[in-house]
This record gives sequence, C-alpha cells and structure tokens, in this order.
Amino acid sequence: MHADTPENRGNYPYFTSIQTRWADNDLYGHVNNVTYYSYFDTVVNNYLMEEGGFNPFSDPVIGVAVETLCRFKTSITHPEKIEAGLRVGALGNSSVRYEIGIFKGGMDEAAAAGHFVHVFVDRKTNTPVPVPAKIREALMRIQKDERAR
Amino acid sequence: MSNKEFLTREAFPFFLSIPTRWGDNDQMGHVNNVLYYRYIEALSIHFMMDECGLDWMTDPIYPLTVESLCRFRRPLSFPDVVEGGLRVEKIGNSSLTYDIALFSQGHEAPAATGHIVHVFVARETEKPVPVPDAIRAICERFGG
Repeated sequence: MHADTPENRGNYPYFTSIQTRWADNDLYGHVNNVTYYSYFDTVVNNYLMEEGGFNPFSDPVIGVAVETLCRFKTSITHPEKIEAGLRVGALGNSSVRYEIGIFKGGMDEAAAAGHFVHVFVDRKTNTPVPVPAKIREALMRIQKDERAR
Repeated sequence: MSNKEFLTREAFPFFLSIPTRWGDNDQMGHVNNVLYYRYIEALSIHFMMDECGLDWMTDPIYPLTVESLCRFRRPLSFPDVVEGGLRVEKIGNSSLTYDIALFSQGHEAPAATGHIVHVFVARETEKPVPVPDAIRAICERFGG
C-alpha cells in the first residue's frame, strides 16, 4: 500500500460492521488513534473465526501480531457506525499480511488504512508453524492477486 | 521509520516508565497488540508536555497523529514495567517523526519498536501549520 494512494471500498472483499462506543472518543471528541487498532483486531479475528473456523480458545495454532501500521486520514466520532474492510496482501508459509481500511458509513474513501502481519505459532511453544489449511484456504479467497485473475 | 532501527537504550534521549495493568493482557496471556500503541501514545504525550511545554487543552496549536507503526518483537505481560524510549527522528515543516522502543526490565533488547508521525494543526481549523519554533528548537536536542 502506498501512503498517498486512496483506499476505496472496492479494494476490499470482506467487511465487518463495528459500532463505535462512547469511550472510543478521546478528549478531542474523535475516536482515539489507538482504538483503530482494536478495529483491526476485530475485523481480522472475525474473518478468521467466521471463514477460517478459528477458535481462539482451543486451537493449537494461533496468530500473533508481529507488525501493524495505520495511516489516519479523516477523523471518526462516536456514535458513528463504521465498516472495516479486509483483504490479504501477502500470504507466506507461516505469515499473512492483511490490509485493512476503516470506512465511515456512506463514504467510499477510507478514513484510515493500514496493515497487520500475523505469524501463526504453536500455542504451547510459541514457535512459527505453517498457516493451518482451513485458515489458508480462507485467506486465499480474499487475496489481492487471486481476485485480479 | 528510518531504515536504521534503534535497539539500545542509549539511542533514546527521552524515557518514560509505564507500568502495565492487569487488563492489558488479552486471552492469550500477553499484552494485546493494541495496548502497545497506548504506551507509545503515553510516551509522545509526555514528551510534548514534559519537554516541549505543550498544554494539550489550551494551546492554539497541537499535534495530531497521522501515522503509527509497531513491530512486536517479544511479548510483554502484566506486571512488566515498560520503559519507553523516544527520539525525534525527523523534523518536517508541519510534522515530527519519532522513533520509539519499548523496553522492559531485565531485557537488553526492546520488546517492540516503531514510530509515530505527528502533524501540528491549528485548534480552530484542524489545518496543518508549521511546527512552533520553540518546540522545533527543543526537538533538535532530542534527535540523533
């Protein structure tokens, strides 16, 4: 993703709706920048649970975040409802790079956009392992290159 | 962040001690990735207040965060005490870029590294304005 490229809804194959909460706003009356990363967590894990059969409580393999980035373009404010868009930018053996857009209701251009890199690890040993097959299938369905074919 | 990553405490001229809290751990038993940004925010807020003299509530010009990044190198867990280090990496016309590292007691290498970019805006309009001269002068002392 390039810093200056606008991110539109059409760039994302999966969306999850998120209701902002009262306490998401900070002293300046906007959703605090840190809170956007909780929206990132939400869309990523919703997708893994809904489409990849991920069970965060019992699965032997879990995703751990190794890098996240967000660029903030336009403020959002409680009580807005937002949509978080998700696509897969790159899929490796143990890792996946998600690309995420945060959209205000009715707006085509993202209010914020960024990425999130997960490495899948054995829950017990914390060492990297291949992305589980069912999750890999789900991730391939929203991969950028796959969709262009 | 510049290509060079700063990984030692000596590279950072500003430090803030931040105790983790019980509720910072998520269901995987580590501090949730989102909370690292809360620590990074505390660092930058305190740097602006304590070193640059910014009054967040009344100054006519204040910074907004326009970009942040974090690389998670090692898990943090409650009750770790985070020692956050900050250095001013770049002073632009309206913007400041800070490199940040989060250390914890007993470890040489940081648990996380990252950066944030602040853009100074006028409180009335939220439009970008130049970094105030007094703040610029102070930031020059906190660079590399």
